[in-house]
This record gives sequence, structure tokens and C-alpha cells, in this order.
Amino acid sequence: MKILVVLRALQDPAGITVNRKAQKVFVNRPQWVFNPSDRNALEAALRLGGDIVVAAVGGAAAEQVLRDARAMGAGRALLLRDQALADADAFGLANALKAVVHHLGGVDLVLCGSQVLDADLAQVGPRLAQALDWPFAANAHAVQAADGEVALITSRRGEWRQAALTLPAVVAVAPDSNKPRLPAGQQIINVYTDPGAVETLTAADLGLSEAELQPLTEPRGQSFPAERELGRRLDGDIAGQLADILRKA
Amino acid sequence: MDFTFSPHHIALRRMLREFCEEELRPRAKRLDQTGQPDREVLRQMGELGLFGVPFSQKYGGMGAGETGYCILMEELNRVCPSTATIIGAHIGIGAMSLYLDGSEALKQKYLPAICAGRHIAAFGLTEPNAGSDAAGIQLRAVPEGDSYYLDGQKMWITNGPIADVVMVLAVTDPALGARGGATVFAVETKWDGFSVGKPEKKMGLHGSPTSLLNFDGVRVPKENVVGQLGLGFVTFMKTLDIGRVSLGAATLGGAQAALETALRWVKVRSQFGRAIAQLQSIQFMLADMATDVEALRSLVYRTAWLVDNGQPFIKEAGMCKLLGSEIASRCIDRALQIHGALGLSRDFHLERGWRDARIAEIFEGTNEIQRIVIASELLQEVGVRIRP
Repeated sequence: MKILVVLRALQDPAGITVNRKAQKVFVNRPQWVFNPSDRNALEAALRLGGDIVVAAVGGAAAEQVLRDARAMGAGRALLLRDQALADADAFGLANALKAVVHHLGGVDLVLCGSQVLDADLAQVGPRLAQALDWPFAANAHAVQAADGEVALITSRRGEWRQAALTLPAVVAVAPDSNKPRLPAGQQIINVYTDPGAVETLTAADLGLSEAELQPLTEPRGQSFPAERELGRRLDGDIAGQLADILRKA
Repeated sequence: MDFTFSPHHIALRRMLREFCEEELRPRAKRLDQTGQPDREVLRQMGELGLFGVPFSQKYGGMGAGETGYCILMEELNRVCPSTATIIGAHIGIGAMSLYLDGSEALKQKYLPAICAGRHIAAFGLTEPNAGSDAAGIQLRAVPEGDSYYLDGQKMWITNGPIADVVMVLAVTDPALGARGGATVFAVETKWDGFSVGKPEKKMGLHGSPTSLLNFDGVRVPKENVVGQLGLGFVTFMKTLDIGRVSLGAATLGGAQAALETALRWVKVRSQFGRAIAQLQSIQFMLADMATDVEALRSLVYRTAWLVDNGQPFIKEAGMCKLLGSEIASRCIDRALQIHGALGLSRDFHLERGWRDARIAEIFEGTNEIQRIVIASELLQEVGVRIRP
């Protein structure tokens, strides 16, 4: 089975300070990590086995997560590095990844993380499935493949479901759904000292047109989400007070 | 001049940091309390290749060089000095003597199992009557046919109770003694006549077992001679020279941990109506600790660079061990002072760190011996030879 795993690098949340008053995020230590659920997607792929290709869009940070993925066991890594992709939104990224699937001569399964810690839009997976016209499932906790199908356990708003998708398909893997392996030291040394461990592709290599990368969305600014209201502590006759609150709600 | 780590060393540290925080930190307290090495964590370390970090991949090692090995020791000792000490005795001195001077056949015989963590190695030098005066060893090796028979004792041997193979320095020619008449043997602990004493009850490093080793006519085949017959003392001294670099790296991890612990505490602890970080007496202690840590970091990794680049490093290695052990002790002591009575509590890890740090001023050559090594190298540079 040939599996494409889509990865994304993030600024390590441990290296930033959020200052609500100043409405700013300060980067204390610029360091990059895997988007957490992407790492679960890679682990799910490694457990399924077969030909595993990882792909990411970006620069040095994306290359780092691709190398880490190679060290964990992925057989091949593709870095989409192009200025034309710098402003791409989820629509552009999905088109770029569709081109990667074609570049690879097709794959049986695409796995990605179901949540991206920074933007948290969860759009690339479903948009890619749409672009490829493949079935899609979100928030998969267990992934098993057999007989041209992928069997899943997914969750949605606290409800567990079993699902089966006909391959080829796109599946978004839930965060914390497995324990990702650490790369062995030998692999780290070999992958990081091998200049060819990551292949670089441009938009032109993939035959991407300008229209395919044209963003559908336009960032108009950034702001912090509204502060959540603190809970209220109930003392005394809790059941009675609760009933009261629920009646008024 | 370039002070940046290579990308592969940065990636290695990232993996080690995650392993230490996720797997080792939750176990460190229990290791200290029970004194039992955690076989599960050692198995995981074997899978990650942590038992052969500086050794060539030809023997199943990681191939990360002395720099990679120093990163390992720093990260392990930052979280669990007991586990760092198991690895230090295994790689830094036990396997290192075989790696430096062993025959190709002997390396092929033992290093793959050592690098995979299937064999734990140890280093047998110290005896009841030979500590700092290592040349005073008495353990005898007598040749007979195609073997040697070993009789005597080794003492304070780190990994003694858990070792599978011990590099043992024995007297093969009593007329010459250590200088020209001592030889290193690779001894498997399952062989007849070998036994270990009870684990020593130490002040610190409870999770790193230490014991006496008894050799009662242990038969060792001649092919298990490590290096040249009669030149074992040289092999062991070379091993200790290089071991001091990674030991310095371990002490760096201890000092770094103390600084981090102190920095976390001064932000949350309030006295006199404000965070104690605002008090100058605390700030001075933090500044001194950070200066110590930074100086040690520079020395350790520069020395590792000297080793990896084939430059002379003996003087600097002695400095790593000497300065590192003193810095670690005083940084942990300062962190403890900053925490007040909480620092003494067994429920908090500084008390363990304080106990664990002290040994670094003693083992692998006391700090007095390090000063002799450094002075001897220093004076040699101006044409003065110190008489042994």
C-alpha cells in the first residue's frame, strides 16, 4: 500500500509567550515542531506499513519535520518549496497536494492530522478529498486497511462511530489517537547527514497553475479570541441551584 | 569560528529531550527510592540506540561522535543522574576501552551487543588498595595454555551487579607492575569464578548499582585480551582521559537542571510582597549559576569538538571533569538555597540532585587527580615533566 502523509511544521508552543494585554504573541525561542496530530497521522501510517511518502509545504522548518519523519521511518520525503506557495490558503494547499498525488503516480491513502495547532481550520484534508473526488473521514482514532478498504473508528462530539471508506481515500487522524514513536538515533544521524533525504519540488515541477494557487480567502487582521467567562462556584444546595439555572437557560 | 551545533546533533538533542521528559522523568524518583534499575526504560534506550552513541555504525553504534555522546550525557543527567551514570560507565569507560584499543575480532564479538544494550558493560580498575594510586592494582592474571586465570577483587564498580561484560585491568607481570606489566581483559560475568558483592549503599545515585567484583580463578581466553599485553594501564588511562569529557557533559546537565528549577521557582515564590525574582540576593545567585553553566557548556562542547577533530584534548578533558563537578555541586546547592526548606524535602527533586551530584568530584579520578593531570599537561607545554 502506498500512503501519503501530509505534514506541517509549527512554532513550538513551548517557545512562545502569549500576552493578552498587549494582544501579542512573543517568540522567545524560535524552534519548530511537528503539528501534533500530523505526528499521529504519520504513526498511523507507519503502523499500516507499505510505501510511506511524507510531504510538506514551506522552507527550513518544513524540511526539519520531513527529516524527522524520515528518521521515524518514512521512505521518501517531498518538500514543496516555492514562493508561489507562500500565500496559499487551504484551497491552494489542497490543489498542491493533489498535484503531489499525481506526481507520485497515485496513492492508496492520504493521511493528515485532523487539527492544525496554529490556524486550526481543519480544511486541507476535506478540500484535498474534494479535489481528488475521494471519500473523506475526519477525526480517526483507529485506522486499519484491508481488501481495498480502510476501516476506521472516528469520533464526533463525543460519539464514537465505525466507518469504512473505499480506497483511495483521505483520512484525518485525531490528536493523541496513538503514541508516536521516537526516531532512533542512528536514523537521525543518517537522515540529517544525507543531503538527498528530502526531495525538493517547485510549483512548476508539479505543473501547478497560478489559478490553482490563488487564495480564496483574504486575511484582514489578527485578534485574540474573546476571553472565556470564568465558571461559577456553587455552594450549599447544589441540586436546587442547578435546577434553577437550567430552568432559566 | 562557528559555535552552532550540526543539524543532526540538534535533531538528536530534540529526540533525547523528549525521551527524557516523557519516559525518564516520571521514573527518576522511583529509581532513587528503590535502587532498582528500570529494565523497561533500558530496553527503550536500547531501541533508540542510546547504548552506543559515540561508536561507529560499523559496530552497531549511532555514529554521533563525542559531541553526540556529550549531548546524551547532558540530557540524561539533566533528568536522571542514576541513568546517566549507568550509561557513562557502560559507554564512556566500559565499552570505550574496548573501542579504543581492542582487536577488530574482539570489537566484532562484543560491540554490537553492547551498542544494542543487550550487554551492559563495566570498567574494572579500582581495588580495595588501589584508588587514586591506580598503579597499585593487585588483581593477578596468570597465563596457562590458551587462557589466563584471574584472581583478585575490584571495588566500587559502577554497573557491577548488572554488567554482562567487564573490562578488567589485571597484573600479568608483577615484576613490571602497572607500568608495562598490566593487561586489560574483557571478562563475561557469566563465567565460572566471577561473582559480585552486595550493591553498595551510597549517598546518591541509588538507581545506579555499584558493587565489589570477585575473581576466583576466572578463566579468560587469550583472544579476550584488550589491546597489547602489558600495556593495559595505558589503555585504561586513555579511556579515562576521554571519559572526562562526557562526565563533564553530565555535570553540565545537572547544573542546567538546577538553574531551570531555580528560574521556575523565583517566578512563583513570593516574599516581602513580591516574587523573589525581584530580590537582588536571589538575582546574584541566578547570575552566578547562569555564568557557571555557560562557561561549562563552552568548555565541554569545545573539548568534544577537539576529540571529534583529532586534536589533543587531555588537559581540557581534565578541566571538564574538574570544573563541571564543582559547578554542578555549587549550582545545585544554590538552587537548594533559593528553595529554602522546600529544597531539603524528599518530596522535591533538589534533595536527590544534591546527593547525586557529589560523586562527580570523586569518581573517574578525584578532582585532586584531575589537577595533577591538568598541571602535568600544562607543565609539559613548558618543558617540565612531572615524575609519577
